[in-house]
Amino acid sequence: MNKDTLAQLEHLVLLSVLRLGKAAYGVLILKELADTAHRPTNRAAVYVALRRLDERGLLRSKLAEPTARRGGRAKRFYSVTADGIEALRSQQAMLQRMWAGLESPLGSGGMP
Amino acid sequence: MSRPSKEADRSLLLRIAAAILGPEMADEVLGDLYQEAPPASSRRSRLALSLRAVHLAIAIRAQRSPAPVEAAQTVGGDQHSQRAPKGSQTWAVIGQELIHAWLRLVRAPAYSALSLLTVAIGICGAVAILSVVNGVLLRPLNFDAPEELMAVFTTERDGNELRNPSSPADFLDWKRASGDIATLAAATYWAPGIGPIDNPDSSVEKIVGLRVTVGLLSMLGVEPILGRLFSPLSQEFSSTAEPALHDRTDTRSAVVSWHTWQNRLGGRSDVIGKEIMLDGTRHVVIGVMPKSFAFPPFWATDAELWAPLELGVDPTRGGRFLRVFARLASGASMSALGERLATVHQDISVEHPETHTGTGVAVERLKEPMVSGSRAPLLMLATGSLILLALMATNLAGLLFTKGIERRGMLATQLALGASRRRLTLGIMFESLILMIGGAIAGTALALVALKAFQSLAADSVPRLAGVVIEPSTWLISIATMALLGLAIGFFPGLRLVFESENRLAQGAARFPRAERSRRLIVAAEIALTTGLLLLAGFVGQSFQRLAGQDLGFEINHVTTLGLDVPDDRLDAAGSMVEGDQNIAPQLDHLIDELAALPAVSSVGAINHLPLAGDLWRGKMFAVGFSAPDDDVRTTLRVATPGYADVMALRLLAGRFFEPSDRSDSERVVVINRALAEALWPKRSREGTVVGSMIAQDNLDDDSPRAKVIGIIDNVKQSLLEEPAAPEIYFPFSQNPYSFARSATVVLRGNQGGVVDATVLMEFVTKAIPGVALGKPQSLQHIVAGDLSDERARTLVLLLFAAVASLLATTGLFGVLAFSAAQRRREFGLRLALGSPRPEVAWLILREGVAVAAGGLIVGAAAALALGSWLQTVLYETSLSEPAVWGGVLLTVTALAIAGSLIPAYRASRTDPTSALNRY
Repeated sequence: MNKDTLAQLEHLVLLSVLRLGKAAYGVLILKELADTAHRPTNRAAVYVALRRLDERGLLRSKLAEPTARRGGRAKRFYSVTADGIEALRSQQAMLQRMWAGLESPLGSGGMP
Repeated sequence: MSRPSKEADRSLLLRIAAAILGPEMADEVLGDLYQEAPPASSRRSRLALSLRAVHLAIAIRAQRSPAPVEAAQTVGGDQHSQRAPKGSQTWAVIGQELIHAWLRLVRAPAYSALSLLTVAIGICGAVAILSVVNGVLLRPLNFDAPEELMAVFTTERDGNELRNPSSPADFLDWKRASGDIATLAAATYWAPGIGPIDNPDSSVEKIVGLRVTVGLLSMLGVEPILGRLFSPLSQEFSSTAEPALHDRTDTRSAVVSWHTWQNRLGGRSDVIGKEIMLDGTRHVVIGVMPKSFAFPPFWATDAELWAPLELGVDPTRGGRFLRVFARLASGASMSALGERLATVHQDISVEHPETHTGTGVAVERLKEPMVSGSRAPLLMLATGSLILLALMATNLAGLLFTKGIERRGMLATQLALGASRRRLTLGIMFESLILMIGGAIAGTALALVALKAFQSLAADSVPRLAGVVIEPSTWLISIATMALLGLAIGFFPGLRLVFESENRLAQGAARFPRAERSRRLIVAAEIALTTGLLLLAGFVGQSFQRLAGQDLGFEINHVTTLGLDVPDDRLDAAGSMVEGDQNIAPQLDHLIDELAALPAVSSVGAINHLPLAGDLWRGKMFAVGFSAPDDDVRTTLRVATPGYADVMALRLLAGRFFEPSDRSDSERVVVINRALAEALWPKRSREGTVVGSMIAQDNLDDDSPRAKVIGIIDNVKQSLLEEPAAPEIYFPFSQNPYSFARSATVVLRGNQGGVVDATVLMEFVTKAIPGVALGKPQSLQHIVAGDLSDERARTLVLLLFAAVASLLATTGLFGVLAFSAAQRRREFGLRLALGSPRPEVAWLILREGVAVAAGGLIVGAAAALALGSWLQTVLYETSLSEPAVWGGVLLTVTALAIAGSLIPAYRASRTDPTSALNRY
């Protein structure tokens, strides 16, 4: 599979991390997906997606200090890498090419 | 459920979760969980969090390296279809497959639950029943070298060969003649009243014990926990009895049971040497037996103390009241002892024909009389449980197989994507394994519960039941059998699917003819087994109903019974047939008069032994002027007061029952039952002229006791509900011909159908006969019900088996028909599209179900008939052709078949032609 092709969940996860800026970690990413994307998610799938994106170099992660509020466990903060931005851009471009000219059929509720 | 402290709680499950996640992700994932829902102080919420964490960890792990199954499911979905790394370790693969198998089961809860339940029930039944069979029948007795211990009986041909007690003279002769190959000892039943030394007039409680000869207790090889056993050199025994030892003020000795020591003697460590009153005589406690000691294992099973037995100067030859036991010398065999004793007995019989004609000697293992009654019913139960196990296994096989076939579309995809067959096999195997293990755990827990329930139901009637535990070997055997059957039938065919070519699998709608056939056979087998169990349950249930509903010959409602023993020194000498003997009649009469005066009492009477209560005396009766000298009739002997017939509502066929005018100085009278009348005077019985005839006892010599028949009553059930009524004769207490009639059971019928209060009754009796030994007051209904309790238990268990089997056969049929319908969707779609009416499509499935059920029914019925002759032995007045049973079973199985087929047939008829034809 092409390095830059994104599955749908990965796409949304990257966008969430981007939106959250510096404060992106598990809890907030999940919340962002639920609130903004209105996409109820499989929690496990999100973590797996984060890990994969990290492995592919589209995300960068860093462990922070443990806090008592988390029962003595550390947070992992994520941020989008340049490659990640590139992947998002090319994905968006691809979609826009496919969307071109389709507004009216969709607007009138065309083929299923 | 009790959980450890907060810290420990976090550690265990959360540590597991962290281990599954690995160090990279543990902090992140678990910390997020913790942050979102910090544990409240309640244990439940903390536990919930821990479980969520474990489940999340498993899910993450599963998705990180998906098995080919998940890959196939999620192609094009959220995940990359990433195959497991080629070079992965075997353990990692195994771990993954295990996790995926678990998840697959969790995601199909109905299937998993049904499979688990199937395994659990099968194992529960097998383990519980096999444990009982093992514990009751197979387990050796709790004595030293129990296989050497024997019981010796005098046998008489009385229809069946009876195991009778023996006479003291016979015992001594046997003992002398067999000294080189066995040690013999004897015991007699004794039920003394046990009471405190200082208050001889207080009411005493009857306790069951034995009088034993030297060496009986030591022969068993069990050491007392306190004190010692009897020894031949001490003062307790003399080699020949001397008159002085009959003096009742002499000190006697006694060995007591652990229970007696704890409950009646205070469990004190200084009990050795203490004195107790037994039957008004002082006895010294010389030993206490261990808690687990119980002797004998039959006949007097609740014996709680043992005292020395005096055989007397001139031991009787004809009076048979001794139970004889033996221990074989090392190297000797049971048959050798049997032959030796038979030879001696032969000589005795020649010398004493009048008492020994028609008798013999029999030697049996000590365990035998105890278990022989239970053997047939227990084996029947064992068969039932094994049938159930087989049924469970086939059902499980069906479920596994069906699931496998359902998955073949997915299998095809997985194989196409390159998944290894080995991993697929592993996955299927793990699924089966998880089901088996889970079912085994649940089944064992159920078995423990079931065993306890069975013990409380039937402990009185099944010997040794109370001591049954589930042995590991039984458990292992059941589980191994289940595993072998279930996996062999279901797993391997399922496995076969994995090795089919991808093309065949991918064809989806193509059918597996061989699979279809085996599927049909499995369900037909289930139905056959269900039919078998239903028939078994039907016959046994019918038998039980007949047993419970039979005419006893007396009324059992509203009758209270109370057993009592009058101590020796309270008896008055008042003429009886043998001079010098003592008679409790005056006491009884006095007591009965007092009781009759109570307002709550409607009628009172007394009898030596209650019918169905176990103990029986027998004697030989002759019809004077009719019988030949060897034409005797073995007759049960009863001694009763006049009121007895009223209380028990005996049916008088001719003449009268006893009256107060039948006294010790008036004409000797007896009342006989119909069976005896017919046996002694067949012709007169038909004519109805038996009353007034004379009966002679023991023999037809001129000096044998005679009596006139004054009445005939209808037959009464005497012993064991199953036996037909035998000849019976009643003597009045006032003319008591038997010097040992010192005990009696008082029976009372309450007024207005009420029952007399037990405590009031006991106080009353104690006042009337000071120092009397009392048993526990019991209602007659309770006694009769007790006799039936093991039949009842058996019937209930079988019904339970049959019900469970029916449930499983139905669900088996359902599952398999549903699957068949799913397979034939295209065909149904085609038919419907071509205009076939929906009911016709439904009928296609229904027809399949009925055909399978019919086949199973026929095989099951044939099998039940094949078992026929063996089955008859355990049934009471029930033949194998009972129309009610057959009709009921036929209806039930038909109903099951319809129930199982209805929904699949309906769903088939509602197939949407379009989607059916388009579907892959």
